[in-house]
Amino acid sequence: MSTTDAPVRVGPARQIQVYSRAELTLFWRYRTAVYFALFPLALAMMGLLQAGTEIAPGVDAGAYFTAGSLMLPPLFLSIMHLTNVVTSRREQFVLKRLRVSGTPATVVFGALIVSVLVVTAVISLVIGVVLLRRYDLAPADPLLVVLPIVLVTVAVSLFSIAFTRLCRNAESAQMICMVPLMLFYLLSGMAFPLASLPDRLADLARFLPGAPGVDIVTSAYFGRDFTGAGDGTRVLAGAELWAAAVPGLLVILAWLVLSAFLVRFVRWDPRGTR
Amino acid sequence: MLTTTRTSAPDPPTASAVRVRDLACSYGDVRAVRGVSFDIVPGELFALLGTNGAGKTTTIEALEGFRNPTAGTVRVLGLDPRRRRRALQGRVNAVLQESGTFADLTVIETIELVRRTSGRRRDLDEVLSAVDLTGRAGARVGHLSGGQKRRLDLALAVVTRPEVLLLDEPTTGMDPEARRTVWALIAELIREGTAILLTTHYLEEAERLADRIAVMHHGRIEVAGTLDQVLAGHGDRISFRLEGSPPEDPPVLPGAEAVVEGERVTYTVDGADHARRAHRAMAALGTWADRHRLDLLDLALHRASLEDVFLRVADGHEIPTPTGVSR
Repeated sequence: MSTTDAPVRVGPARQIQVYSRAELTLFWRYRTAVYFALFPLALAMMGLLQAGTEIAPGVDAGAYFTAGSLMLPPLFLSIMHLTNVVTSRREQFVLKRLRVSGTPATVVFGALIVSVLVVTAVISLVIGVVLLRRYDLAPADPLLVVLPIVLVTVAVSLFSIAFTRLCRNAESAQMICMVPLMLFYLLSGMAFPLASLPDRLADLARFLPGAPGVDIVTSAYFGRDFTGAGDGTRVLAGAELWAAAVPGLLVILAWLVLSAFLVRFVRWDPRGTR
Repeated sequence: MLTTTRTSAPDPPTASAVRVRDLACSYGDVRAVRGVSFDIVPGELFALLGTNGAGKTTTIEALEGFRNPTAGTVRVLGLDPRRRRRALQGRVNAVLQESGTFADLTVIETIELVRRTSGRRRDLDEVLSAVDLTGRAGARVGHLSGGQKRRLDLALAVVTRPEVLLLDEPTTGMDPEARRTVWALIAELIREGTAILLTTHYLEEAERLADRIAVMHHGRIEVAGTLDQVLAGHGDRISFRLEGSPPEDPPVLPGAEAVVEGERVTYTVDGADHARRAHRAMAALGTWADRHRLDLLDLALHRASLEDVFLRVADGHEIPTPTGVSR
């Protein structure tokens, strides 16, 4: 075993790239992960059943719910897939092995998040094509559609990784992760309109990552104000649209920063050491 | 009962790749490691033996930067492994007691993942060949046998060309042929200058590979040194059998204690200068047998084995201080 390559410098970006490719391979080979990806897509297609009624001037309910469902993959995929994968890897000593070999946490978890982002992008593209073909609808502000999807995916992914601290094993992770998933989904405005909730609950919902994400994505898609108490009657464009999105984006960023901090306390070893 | 005499591994002659001083680790009320000290120099294999729960894995975890010492210091390549994890990336690697690999990747994908993200790389084909997994390169890790998974663990540990290698029971679950393949690889790594810490329950493995050996019990190193140093003072045994009824009074041999079990008589000669005293006892025994016209059947002189020392430590017997070893 005498042949060795000359030492080279491999930066974190390159490491994340290599690990992300492996994560995508693993995602494809892990059948449960494929199910986790198809589940929000199926929910998104159910939005089409709402077609035919207007929820705002010129905004079809089917189109609204399908556009809003762009926020489902970041919630469902990030929570269901990542809590399951991270907990089972910890249980099987994979995390410990990676840690011992010196692979930084940013690389281990960064690659996982990149894989979720890629799959989310693919599902979002499918939903976008459906909106275009079915409703001849393209986003009014594409960047403001993409930004919350990326931010919510990263924030909820980090939250899910940190959340595994509470999961004893992969089996319990699948049950326990339903708590934040249902909380984020039911209070996102996609299960039922936030306006139908008591005011206090609706206010609380706007401090979770799902509701602001749905508000911003639908506003950016239709060029109308669905943020906060906006009901879509006000037409917005350019800076006005971004200004309306700022409070929601700040909430999502707060979740991202808090979750990134909590990831420091993730457990690498099933026997309880860090 | 264990006595209070404790042993530190003797200082190696050159700069240490691993330095552990007065290491103590606790889990709640359980004191898993209690004041362990040793050094490992480049090109040396230090074997840490002991019963389950003796504190071997906790010691390794402290070296991996995984366990926060309650007291004492741990340095790997001069750095604190807990605080300088990134600086040690690739330079230190380990085989864990449990196999931890992605079941849905193939063998080659798994090794390449580690190899391509490390700045220090060995040739992939050579690594596969060294662990005898060339024929299984395309197989999913989840489809490998237990022994093959352990060899893959070793491949992942050596592919980054580490300067320090921590091996926690690396050959557990391997058949004898695979174990010999791994021994050959470890011997080559030692020749290359890798500093290796090995824990194992196979004493033959430690005898064959280790430059120095330490036996732990209840979180402490009870005896440490080279194999000769560890075995010294644990006695030679002279045994023989007499046909018919055993002697009621076995001959008194200078410096040797007799035990009669059926037809077999065994003398144990231990303590300082035991080799010379064993020789004298053998001569005296021959004289006694000639005088009584007796045939000494199956006459043998046994050197103490590592297993004898291990069992004495495990049973809590007092362990004599090996020559050249500081307490």
